[in-house]
Amino acid sequence: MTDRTEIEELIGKVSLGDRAALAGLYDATSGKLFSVCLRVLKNRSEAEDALQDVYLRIWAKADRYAVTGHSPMTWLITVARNLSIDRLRAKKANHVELDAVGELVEKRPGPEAVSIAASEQRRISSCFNELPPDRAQAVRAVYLDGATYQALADQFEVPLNTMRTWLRRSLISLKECLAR
Amino acid sequence: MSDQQDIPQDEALAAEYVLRLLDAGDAQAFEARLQREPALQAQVQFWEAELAAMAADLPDEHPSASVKSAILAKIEGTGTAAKRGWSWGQSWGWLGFPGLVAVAMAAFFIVTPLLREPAFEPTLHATLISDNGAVHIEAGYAPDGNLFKVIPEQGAPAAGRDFELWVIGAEADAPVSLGVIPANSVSLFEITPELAALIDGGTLAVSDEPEGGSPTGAPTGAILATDLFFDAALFKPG
Repeated sequence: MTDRTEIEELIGKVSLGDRAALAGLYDATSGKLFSVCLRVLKNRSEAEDALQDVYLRIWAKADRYAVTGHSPMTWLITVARNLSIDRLRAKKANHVELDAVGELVEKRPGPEAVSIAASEQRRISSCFNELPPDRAQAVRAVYLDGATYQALADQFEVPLNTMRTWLRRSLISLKECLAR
Repeated sequence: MSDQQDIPQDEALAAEYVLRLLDAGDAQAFEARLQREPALQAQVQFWEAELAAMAADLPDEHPSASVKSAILAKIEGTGTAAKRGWSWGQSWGWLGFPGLVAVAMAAFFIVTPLLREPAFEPTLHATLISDNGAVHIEAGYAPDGNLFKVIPEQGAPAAGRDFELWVIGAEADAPVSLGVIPANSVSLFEITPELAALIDGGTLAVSDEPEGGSPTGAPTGAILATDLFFDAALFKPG
């Protein structure tokens, strides 16, 4: 697996316009970023279009990476997730297929899926475990599937405002746990 | 007792912003605050990093090989200097700020001619646009006379603050100050040959500083935007 320093070096070269470095960055990270796009868009062809956007965006904006203060994978994942959500929202306003979510949630990472520091991942996973399961699922659905408050309210059959308070509370609990 | 009362509002708001749960109006209001409030920026950064760790749970998926070749074909013929040619006009928002594309397109068509006034023939150009689009500054460098021109298109520093420009040479680690710029008028000034030497292949940055500029000689406030200098001739018609 390509480690953090190597990915950072590749991003540095990409910011200087090095096309081979973009190809290298693609090889090292497209598996993870495609999984992010696919999870949001639930359609391979659309996710592939989004993935193209993601690497072209990285090509154009690699010089901004350093000022974000993020680890390289955090930055790449944030770009992939936000561009995918742009597409999702453009495509179908507020409708999210939560039915497709359940089966994906429980999958464990494959052998190549360890680009993020394992410690960070364990930390957020253990904090998720402190939340009631339905609330943890709601936060995951928002981040990974791009669910909106309306979609969650429909799924959990609660009023919109209740859903909002619910989720905000869950986020604050998460933050308190992560800060420990 | 209100259910909302014991929820720390800014923390929740920052999380909702990162999660893209805010409606357009709230997101815009939040971005305006984000520009001025480092504490809020730290919250956003916290959530972006923590939530991205969730993606580690996703098993890798393999896109078809055509995606890679399509990407490489699209960047063919572009390099450090030419990154702008290909993508504006598609429906992208940088990290999710859709307004930016429109701003960048407008900047391209309106500002480039301004930089080609007879007295000022820039060879290198940089476009500074903050992530949320609130700050937009165009800059050009003309080797004839070592002239540097700055056009503040959008955004102003908060009261008691100034925008300061910096050049980071391709080989240099530390930014060198180009000075504080007026936020409401075009400025044209001569720079030293030492500074001019950093511009080709270098990066331009703008930071938010105390009134009168950084007291330390290095950026002390938030870096609002950066851009590599690119070849102005690439965008001349014909």
